[in-house]
Amino acid sequence: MNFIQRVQERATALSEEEAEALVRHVMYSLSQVMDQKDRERLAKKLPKPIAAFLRSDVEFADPFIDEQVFVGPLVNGLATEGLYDQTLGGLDVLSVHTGDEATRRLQAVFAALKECLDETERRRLQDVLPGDVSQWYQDA
Amino acid sequence: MPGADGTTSASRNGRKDTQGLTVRSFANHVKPTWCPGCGDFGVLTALKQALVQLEIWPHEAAVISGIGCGSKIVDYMRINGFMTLHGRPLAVATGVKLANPSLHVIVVNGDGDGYGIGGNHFMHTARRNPDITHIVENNQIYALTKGQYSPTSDRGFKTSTSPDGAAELPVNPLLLALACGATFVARGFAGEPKHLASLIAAGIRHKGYALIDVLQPCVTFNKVNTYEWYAERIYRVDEETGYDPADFDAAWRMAQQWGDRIPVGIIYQREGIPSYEEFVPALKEGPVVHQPFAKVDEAVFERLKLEYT
Repeated sequence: MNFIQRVQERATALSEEEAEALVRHVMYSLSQVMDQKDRERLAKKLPKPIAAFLRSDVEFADPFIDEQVFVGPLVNGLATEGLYDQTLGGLDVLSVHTGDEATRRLQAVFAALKECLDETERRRLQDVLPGDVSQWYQDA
Repeated sequence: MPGADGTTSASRNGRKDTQGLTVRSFANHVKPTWCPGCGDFGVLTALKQALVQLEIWPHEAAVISGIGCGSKIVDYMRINGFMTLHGRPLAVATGVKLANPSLHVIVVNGDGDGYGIGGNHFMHTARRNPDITHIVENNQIYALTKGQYSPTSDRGFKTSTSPDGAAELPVNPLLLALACGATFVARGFAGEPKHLASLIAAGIRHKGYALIDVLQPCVTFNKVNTYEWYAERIYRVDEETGYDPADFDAAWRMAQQWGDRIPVGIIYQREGIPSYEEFVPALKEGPVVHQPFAKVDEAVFERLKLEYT
């Protein structure tokens, strides 16, 4: 099973294209919070097609990226509306679960990532993750 | 600049006491109701960081907003704040600045509030040049009302109110600001809050009206102009060899770029222009908030009170 398929298995109900887009979004966010040298070290541990999703044009991590900005690209790729329920005052019962769904999918990628890393590299990666993302990673 | 502990060194410079000033100084107990991953979070972080960088305490600044997702930012900061009518924050902010010019007055609103409903105020504030910083969270959609096309939506953009695609050409806020005489025009990206914070700080430092148009992805209702879409297109103007933001003609050309390449950074800055407050005769005796209340005629004051009873 390759990296994308492992993500598919964990995230469930995703097509291969959706799983690939999910991985691409998470790799983009990771690129933003890692210095170039950390990113290059991580890239060496990943399958080449996955490492290719890491940005190469960012020299230094952006220290102001928090968990919300981190998950932004991933949420952009989610279905976020469509189940408006008039018995609930027009509440969209799909959108209210967006946060939980984003966390679940993020953890599917993190779990696949951790399988590629030894314990030292796992800790290194955890150290660069902002706010709650670090906990989600640990729990993945 | 804040040190490793997040505090600033201003007290060592002998300017004013900023001991203990950190982003936490601007935090309150209100949890944002923005969607997870919303670009507004990046703007909120960048604004707080800019204020800390400039060693501005919460009581030394006022944030004025309008109506919309982004305008709720006032609720999520410990700072002087005023959420006004839809499209009116620039008018209110001008009043705040005239009453107390020593305050750092910052307007934060969305593209609908800023360029649509408040489009008139936008044009006239740009030409009037009050010392106000204007941050526009431009997500190219009306998000609070669940996704209708906005003044900056591209032609053809499909929404619930434009199922066949928006028929109109979008407003180019940078060009409009330049045409109206704005003395500081910049564009940032909510996905790069460090760079955005530097632009906001530059805007606050600028004497006069400063527009910072922020490309701010709406993660829920705009599935076209996403984080990824912007990241593939934006580039920094300060990395362009020879680009001079003081050159109006170059700024005019730069501001027209949109599509495959989108410039971010300080597009235009003209320094040394007096701000609006300097031309207001009533302020020659000093800020209104510092003028003695006893000078107000009692009969006039009573009549004024009657207006509100």
